[in-house]
Amino acid sequence: MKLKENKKMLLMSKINLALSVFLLALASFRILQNIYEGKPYYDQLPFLLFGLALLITAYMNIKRFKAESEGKTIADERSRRVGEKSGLFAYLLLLGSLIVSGLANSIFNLRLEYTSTVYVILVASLFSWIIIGYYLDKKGEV
Amino acid sequence: MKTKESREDKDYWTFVKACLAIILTGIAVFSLGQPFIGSELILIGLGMTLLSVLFGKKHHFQDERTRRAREKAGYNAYVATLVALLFLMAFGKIIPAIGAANYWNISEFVSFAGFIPFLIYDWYYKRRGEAE
Repeated sequence: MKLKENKKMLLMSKINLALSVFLLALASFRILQNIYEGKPYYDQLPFLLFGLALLITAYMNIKRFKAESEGKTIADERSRRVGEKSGLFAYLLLLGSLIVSGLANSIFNLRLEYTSTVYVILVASLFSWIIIGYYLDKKGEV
Repeated sequence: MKTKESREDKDYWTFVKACLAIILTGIAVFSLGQPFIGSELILIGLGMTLLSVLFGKKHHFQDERTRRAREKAGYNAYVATLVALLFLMAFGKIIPAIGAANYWNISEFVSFAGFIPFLIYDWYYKRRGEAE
């Protein structure tokens, strides 16, 4: 029964993967078009972020379901703890970067527009979470 | 091997150093022509120093359980902060008053809004005692 369910979920994840690739291609095309026409391209960034999130989730799910159907476990207590520990570090980095950028904006009168600045901080924060998680996972002392 | 007292001392002095760094940053910002933000930072630093004096060294000691609770709280607060940021970005386009807000106000608000869930989750996981 579980094998059957896994097969269905695997198919679903593959559909998600295809959708995410389509979404990423569409968003990239729209961004390039806006840049070429000299229009602001920030409106398309949520689609790009959503596509990336969908891609990563679908890839991880495919990996998990394949491993489960072979009788292996790839996400145990340790990997959950790695995610939480890296989340704490990423959280501190996010708060630090928000405070430092806010202070720099006020002191040096940078006139930052918050939607565009926060986009950059948000993407950097997500990547820092992934990178720190990868590092802690490889280090293996969690 | 570190004793419990030496670890308590280390955690406590790290916290005191962080408080001093915040107060010094506040003084620097104050002298750079931002008296409002500078005084805010000085007050935050002084408040943290007062809290550390009131609670004493015992409060800063972290064993495995409290460290685990803090990690869990940090992860949940991180997700909450990300959601708050996403909402602010979405409403910045729709509501002009948010879109035209000063960047410092927004970053201060998000930092505050992200810190409160951390304190609540930390308190909750420590109280619940099942953070393993």
